[in-house]
Amino acid sequence: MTFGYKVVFLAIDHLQIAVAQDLSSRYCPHVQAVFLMRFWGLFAVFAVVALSLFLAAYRGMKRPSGRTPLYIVAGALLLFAVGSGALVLYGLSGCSGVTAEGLTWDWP
Amino acid sequence: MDGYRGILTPVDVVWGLGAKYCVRQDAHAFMWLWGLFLGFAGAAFIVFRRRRRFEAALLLFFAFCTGALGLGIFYACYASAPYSMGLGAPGISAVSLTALMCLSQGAFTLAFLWTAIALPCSAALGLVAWGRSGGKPAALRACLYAGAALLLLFASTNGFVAFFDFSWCWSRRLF
Repeated sequence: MTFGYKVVFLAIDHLQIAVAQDLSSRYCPHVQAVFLMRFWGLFAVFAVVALSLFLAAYRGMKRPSGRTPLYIVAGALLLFAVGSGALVLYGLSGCSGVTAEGLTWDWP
Repeated sequence: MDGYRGILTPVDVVWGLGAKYCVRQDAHAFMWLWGLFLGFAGAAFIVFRRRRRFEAALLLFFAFCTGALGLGIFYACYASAPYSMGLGAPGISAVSLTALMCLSQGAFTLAFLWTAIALPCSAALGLVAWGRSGGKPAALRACLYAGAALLLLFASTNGFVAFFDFSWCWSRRLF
């Protein structure tokens, strides 16, 4: 199959266009603004808790052995917030067009 | 793409959208597994610092399995998403496609069952380690070991349920 023929063949493939539309409309939130507000709210809660734990570990504990678990918990919380946040934003970036009813994404 | 570098064809678009679709479809399972992975890795680090190398290695193994399960679910969805919506699948057999679809569509159940396997196993490990540490009466030690055995039984039951669930989905779709 030559280059030009293949491009034309792919460009007019309606099935692929329909599938692409399906893939970009399923599991999307109804209102992205509300979804993102909830998402940033949750992210802020996780970040604040993690930073409070870091501060508590830095200031509160006298013994270094007591600090380490607290640092690890704080780091894990922060990593969870950042990782899941990146995941949510990546998934959300694929949403375009009309949301498919019955297959929506309600909370992060 | 052979000789089409730099040109985005509709096929590339479909696969690119498929990856994002999969993240959205199984987002809760991925977040759950990400949290579990961090929990196991953190616990392994804490245990390692207390010079319990065997327990740390086992926890790290659970973390590795959790990560592998997450990546496996993502691959299963990514490889089957366009085909499950009607595109032809010339390079993939129906049996493999069914297995991939079962893996991706029951992602949250699978993640939950994996949690119900890994957490009791690590709790049993903790009980045995606690029982082996000195200065405990024999009755308490027996109770700890019995608890560990019960937890392992619970974990293996969940393993069987996970295996049965996956096999059921696979066979039900084929016939």
